[in-house]
Amino acid sequence: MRRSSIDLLRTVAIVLMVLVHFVENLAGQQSRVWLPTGLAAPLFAFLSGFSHWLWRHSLEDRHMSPSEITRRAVRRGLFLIGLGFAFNVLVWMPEDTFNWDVLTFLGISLLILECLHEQPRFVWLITAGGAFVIAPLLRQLADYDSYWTQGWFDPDLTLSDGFTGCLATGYFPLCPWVVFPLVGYSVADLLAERRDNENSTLNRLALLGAGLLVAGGLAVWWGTLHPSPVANAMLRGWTMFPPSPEYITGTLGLVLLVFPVARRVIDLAPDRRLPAGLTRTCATFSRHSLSVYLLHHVVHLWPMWLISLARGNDTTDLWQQVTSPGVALLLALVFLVACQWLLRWADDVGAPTAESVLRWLCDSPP
Amino acid sequence: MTAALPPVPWASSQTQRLLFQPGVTANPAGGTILCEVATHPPCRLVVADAATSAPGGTDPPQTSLELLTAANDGVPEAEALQALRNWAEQGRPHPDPAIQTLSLHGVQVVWGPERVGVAAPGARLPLVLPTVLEFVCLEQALSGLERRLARSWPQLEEDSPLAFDFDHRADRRRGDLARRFQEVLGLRGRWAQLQPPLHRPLVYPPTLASQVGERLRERARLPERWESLGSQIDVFQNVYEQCAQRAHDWRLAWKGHTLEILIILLLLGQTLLLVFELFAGREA
Amino acid sequence: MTACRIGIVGGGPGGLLTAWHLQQYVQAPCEITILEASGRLGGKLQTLRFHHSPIPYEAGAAEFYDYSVTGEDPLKDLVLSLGLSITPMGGSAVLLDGQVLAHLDDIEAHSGAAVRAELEEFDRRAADALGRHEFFEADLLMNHSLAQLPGTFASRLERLAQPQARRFLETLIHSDLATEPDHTSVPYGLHNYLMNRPEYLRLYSIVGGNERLIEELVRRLDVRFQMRHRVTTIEARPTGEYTVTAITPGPDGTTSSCTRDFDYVIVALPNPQLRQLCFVGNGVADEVQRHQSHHAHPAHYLRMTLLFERPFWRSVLQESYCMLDQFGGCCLYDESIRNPAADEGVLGWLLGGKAALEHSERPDAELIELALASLPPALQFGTGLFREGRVHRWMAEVSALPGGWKLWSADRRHQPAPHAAPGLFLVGDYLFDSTLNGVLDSAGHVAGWIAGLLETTPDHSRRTITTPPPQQETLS
Repeated sequence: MRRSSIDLLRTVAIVLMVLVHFVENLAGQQSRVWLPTGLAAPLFAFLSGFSHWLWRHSLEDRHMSPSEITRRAVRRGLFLIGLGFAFNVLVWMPEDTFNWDVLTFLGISLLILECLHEQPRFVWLITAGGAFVIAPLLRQLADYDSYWTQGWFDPDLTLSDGFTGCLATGYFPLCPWVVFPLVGYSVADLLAERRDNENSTLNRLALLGAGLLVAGGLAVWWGTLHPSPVANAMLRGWTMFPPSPEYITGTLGLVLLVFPVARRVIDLAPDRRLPAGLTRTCATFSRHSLSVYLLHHVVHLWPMWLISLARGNDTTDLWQQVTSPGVALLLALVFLVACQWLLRWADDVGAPTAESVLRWLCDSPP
Repeated sequence: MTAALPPVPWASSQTQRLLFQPGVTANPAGGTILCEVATHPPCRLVVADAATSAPGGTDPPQTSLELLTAANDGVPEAEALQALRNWAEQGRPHPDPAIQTLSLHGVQVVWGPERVGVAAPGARLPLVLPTVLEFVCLEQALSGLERRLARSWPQLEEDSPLAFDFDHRADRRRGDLARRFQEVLGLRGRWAQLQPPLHRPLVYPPTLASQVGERLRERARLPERWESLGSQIDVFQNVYEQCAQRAHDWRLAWKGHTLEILIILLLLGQTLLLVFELFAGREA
Repeated sequence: MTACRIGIVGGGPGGLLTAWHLQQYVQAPCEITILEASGRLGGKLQTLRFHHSPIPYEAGAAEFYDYSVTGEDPLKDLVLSLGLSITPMGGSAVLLDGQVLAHLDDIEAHSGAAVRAELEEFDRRAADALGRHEFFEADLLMNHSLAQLPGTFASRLERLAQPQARRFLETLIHSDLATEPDHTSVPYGLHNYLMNRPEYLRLYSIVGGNERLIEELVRRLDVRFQMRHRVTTIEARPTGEYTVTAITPGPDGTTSSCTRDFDYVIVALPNPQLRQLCFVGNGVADEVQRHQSHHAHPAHYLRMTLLFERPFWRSVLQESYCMLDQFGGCCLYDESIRNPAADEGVLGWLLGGKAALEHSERPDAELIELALASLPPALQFGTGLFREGRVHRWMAEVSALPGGWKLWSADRRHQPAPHAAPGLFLVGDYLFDSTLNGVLDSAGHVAGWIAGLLETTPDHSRRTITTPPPQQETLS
């Protein structure tokens, strides 16, 4: 049974992502006032971990063998990693193959979750904590700034750059981004264990989230007040690239605050239901989040590349210079509407989508 | 509701509502105690008057019974037995379980889940009644245990895989498993306490009361049901003992496992840092 | 082929159980032959059917004693190990002066509180005098018990002040005794009283008839049966062998004689029938005769079994048996209670002792009329439902243990001539307690003895068989 709260939150993340990407790539605008950036990815990563727990346990409840479940999970993880590489090559540039974007990150996270799924919950949380703690150290060792001199991740095609990019310096390095799916997985496990006492647990999660959010804010404030070599290295302010400790703490807190509220207000309130249209819209976007991700990139990037090539210029010549932020936003909204219609049509006629291809490739019996 | 008496010329008769209290320390109903079985806490049959509490609603729940005692002087045996049977079957929503009857040396007894009828010559009724009440008490106590156990089978089937394999997911159910194990031990204790009255040696030379009591126990198959209940409790106890053993072993292993995991994570972190240093050094 | 030859005289429970035990115990090659005078095996275990109905009834022993409540019961173990099902039997009612006295309350209502009190006191004293252990080990402890409780059982009964109490007890146990209280020792009399106490002894019968024990034993015995071979002479030869001579009926009413040689001979016949055998050898006859005389306390049973159209007595008699004060005290069996599906009813009268002996002379029809007349007034209406009757006489087929009589040691009891004929053994209930359990104990004792002898002296009694074995008799 789908959870409306998860569909709604995932839809929020997807919509934010589409809006931000359209505005950033078409107009180069990164304003946070009317278009907050850096909030969708943590929420989406958290929900991916949470949903993976639900998916895994639904298969266990259907008495699927553990080996079969692992086989499917590993295939899905590898599929996403492969798709991530292919996406980088085909949608961006070949030199961006190993930029360790969100698809490769989610694929690797799936594999990590699969490795750790039999461990007790505290192992997942310690791993998350370890990744959080070690991330600034790894960035120091790898000299993170040297990879981001032009404002984007620019590695060499070497093994060491590939390795460091995956772990510490890429767009979505495992350290510390793996915190979110691990925490999502742990929260799902915790809520299942305390099914009889879910409201109280949700309250505590929200309290924790609020605390982390405040802690993140305090860390930002403290970092500005007391600059020091350590602070400079560890506390870099609220930045997504690199994902600073303040950013990770704050966004994790925000996610842990928003998720319990959504769960209590939407799922657990017996007399309150989302309007059916909204429910269906959110469910469509949530079910087809991968398709939306791929499509929106293709829709707003390929025309730029093709026009640039047609003009005989560099492929990325028009990047961030196509239009104004308002038009870009409008285009994003048009895309979202069209995408919603397209995906509903695909559902109705059974047309292939990225998700159906994933299921066909990864979930077919041997 | 008290069933209407059959049109039989009993010399005298009386109907009472009784409450069976399966193991209560006090007498919450406050009625006269007619019979008490020496279990701990004792099982009782008490007379329920208008002021006493309704059946159920207590923990454990009480069972209500109707008792008919009649003097059958001059009444043919077949007629008396049929009259008692009619009374016992009147107004029953379901024919199951069937009403049981016994006729022995001028004493007729019928019993079912909610009604017990005793007819005997007037002079012998006071001799026989305590035996019948004791039988009712024992039968109700045994039936109560049987019902409790019957309700627990689905949960046992759900828990039985944990008797073989226990993992961290199962650890969440440790508290529930411990509670169920305690309940099973409690059941076994109650079961064991029923043995002395159920397996009382046969009395010789027999009295009418001893013969009626022995025959009632035999007819209701109380000793066999007690044995069967013991075998079932053995199954429960075995499963939950195994679960407890697995949980204990798992906890012990988990403590060692925790340390290993921490060491592994620390080593992983150290390795990562070393590799990063190596790569960073090469880059430099 | 070399085998030890063992001859068993008598195809009743004693002979068959001896063969069974020999089969279990003897490891060496062994050839067992059972010589039976009649055309059937089983002796006092006999289950028959009426002409008018397939309901079985017991013509001989009607119940087995279940000693398992106090100790080991090898007979019950054997019955169960043969795959036979058993059904419990019980009965405490006594029909006295036409009244059914089923329990103490009835006794008090019939005879008064004093009688009830005296009977309760007698019961307490009996249990005090003979505990469960002494009851179970009666054979081993009999001499001790005899010393502790001297006199006859009649003298014990005479101590009762209430005549009704005495009458009640005499009626209760008379059929068990198979003889009179003044011919019975106190321990034996108390033994027969305490048999009624459930914690001392219970009774059971075999589902389908007690004779099924014989059938199952015979199926499993790998022995040679020689039916209609009446043994007349047993000769103890100087070589240590024994020559057994038997007479067999031939065609046209003729008889023929045959002899066979054995290394061991076991005589499993009732005590009085030992006198019909001729023992030849150096002093064997005298020793056997002395042995036979010492154990000659014949007791008698007479059984009348009547078939009725329906069990009209069930409202009054609801147990396997009760005691009736007619015929000096007899046991009245409800034979049909073991066949609840049958429409007909079967009642069996078991007379014992003097009453059995006296009535055995009467013709069957007269006995049947007497049986019908003995029913209490409340059941006389049922005589019109009578359909068929059978009478079976077991005169001198059992033995009693009289007052003042001492038991010999077990070996002495089973080997009548230890020097003149060490290979000659006796088996019988009269050597123990006159029960089937006693027969099993006796058979086990002798079989174990022979098995031990064969083990310790393996060449003692083996002969090379040079002649082909005689034609095997078909069993009737």
